[in-house]
Amino acid sequence: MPLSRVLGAKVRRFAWALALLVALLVCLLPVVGVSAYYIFVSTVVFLYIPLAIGQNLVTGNTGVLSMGQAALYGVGAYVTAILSTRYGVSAPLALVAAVVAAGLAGVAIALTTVKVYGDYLFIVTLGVNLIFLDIVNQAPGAGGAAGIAGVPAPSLGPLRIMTPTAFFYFGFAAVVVCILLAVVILRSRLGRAMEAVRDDALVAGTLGLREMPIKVGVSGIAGAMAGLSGGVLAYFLTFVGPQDFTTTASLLIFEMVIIGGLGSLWGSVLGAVLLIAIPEVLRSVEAYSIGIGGAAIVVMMIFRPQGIMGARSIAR
Amino acid sequence: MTPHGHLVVDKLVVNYGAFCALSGVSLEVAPGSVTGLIGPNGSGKTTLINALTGIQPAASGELLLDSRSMSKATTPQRAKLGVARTFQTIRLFGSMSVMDNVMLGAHRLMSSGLVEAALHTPRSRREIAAHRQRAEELLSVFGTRLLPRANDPALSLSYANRRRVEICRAFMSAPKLLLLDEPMAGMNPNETLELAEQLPLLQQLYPASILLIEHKMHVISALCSHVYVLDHGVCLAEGDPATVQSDPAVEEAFLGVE
Repeated sequence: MPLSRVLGAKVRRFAWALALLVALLVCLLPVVGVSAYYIFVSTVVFLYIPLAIGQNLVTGNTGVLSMGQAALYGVGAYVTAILSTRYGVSAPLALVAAVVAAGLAGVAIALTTVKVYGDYLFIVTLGVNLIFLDIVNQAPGAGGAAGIAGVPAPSLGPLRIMTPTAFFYFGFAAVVVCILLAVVILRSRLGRAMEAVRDDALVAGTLGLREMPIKVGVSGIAGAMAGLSGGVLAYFLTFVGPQDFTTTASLLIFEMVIIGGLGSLWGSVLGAVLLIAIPEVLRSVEAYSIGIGGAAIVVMMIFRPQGIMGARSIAR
Repeated sequence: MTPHGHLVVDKLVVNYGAFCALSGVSLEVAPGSVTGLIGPNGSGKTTLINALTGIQPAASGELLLDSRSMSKATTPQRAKLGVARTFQTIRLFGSMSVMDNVMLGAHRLMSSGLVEAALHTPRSRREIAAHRQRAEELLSVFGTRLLPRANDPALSLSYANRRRVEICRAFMSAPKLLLLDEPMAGMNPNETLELAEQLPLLQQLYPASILLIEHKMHVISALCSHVYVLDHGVCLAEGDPATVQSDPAVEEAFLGVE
């Protein structure tokens, strides 16, 4: 049962007011003099929220056990870095290119793996992530292990984004866009169609719903969200390298969704906040963050297999 | 009026590996009729429905819906042509409300696609509002059993109510051909009687041809004009319910009388 139902209809009714209030408070963070360090941590959280949302749309709502979201994140980052450093492409255009390229990569992965299900898909997409890492390590234009440095500060119209605070708002804007997109999808008939395919693909078929285009489309949307984050990351770090897009990063994104709650949009947000912010803030245990995340999953699977906000568990 | 939902099955063969589940079954469902399909367990009734919906591939044979071949169509394509079904073991979407389940039945009738739906265009919203009204009308056929629970999770409902939801979902597509796989299974005598009275009401709302699998002979006698008897993958007998019931071959198949 979703947490929102446990808490009752009242919470649901005020969900929008609550979301707006939280958004407003987040916007105020840099203004009220929060230290530069927390602004930095928040920006990293913002980079991961679109990744977690996309992963949750794929795995939580459509029931596709795919990982390797970090590879799509990398596609967005590398496209942005290459276009802006070598071809002098402006930020809005480079970001659009990053979104489109990662979205198409998501479509391509889904198209080639459409007949692979469950655990097998998890393994195959893990392989896709490794292939991506090999490409960026070996391809002549990708800078190998050193990556691509010198990504210029982006300008969005008259706004030149240079300060940590500016990047905080830049990242937050990407988060807002992805949350709104996810809300619009999940509240529509497309959202129900995704969940129908997840719950029982055979029955969905007898109602005329085609599994393939739905899965491919959702994978494309998740890819586009990851691409947007990748683009923001490239500008934020002024540098892209393979180390941010490893299978460990993919696994971290997967953990966010499991802990936050499969099929819950706000669970994705919460999962990203918890898994990025807590290890950062508790610096003394940072070295153990992956292990702590793993332990959290073990405990969750025993006591709340559907995740903190989720409605369903990963295994029935 | 053009005929709707006229099903012709011609020499249908379905194999599970070396086992022949249906060996050349031919039958016909007349437009607007309720045609019965009976037979002992394992005789191939559900296999026939699975083959009609394209879930189980057929080895050979022809399937015609309103004189159009649908043998090569996929399951979703057949749904679009107007074939709907229920399942012997109820298969509702477990994470969704009663209303969401029923509304998904309307998919084949939606002129706006899923992308348009995600964009919440005015046309898509109008369409959904209209279909929601139809869904409420369908739920209200069952009196107060489903309508007050429309927003409850489908799995919170009783067994019999889940069956009713599944039937509503199937009728929601305004099907030409509706395949009901033991809709009364697990229902008590009162609920069975109630559903036997409600099926004709539903058929008045949506004039589908119905192929009804059922074990309870009094239900078959009350609803069906024509009955086919299946045994070991072949059509053993056909005719009106009374004739079929008195057929010695049918008695033997059901009771094992020598």
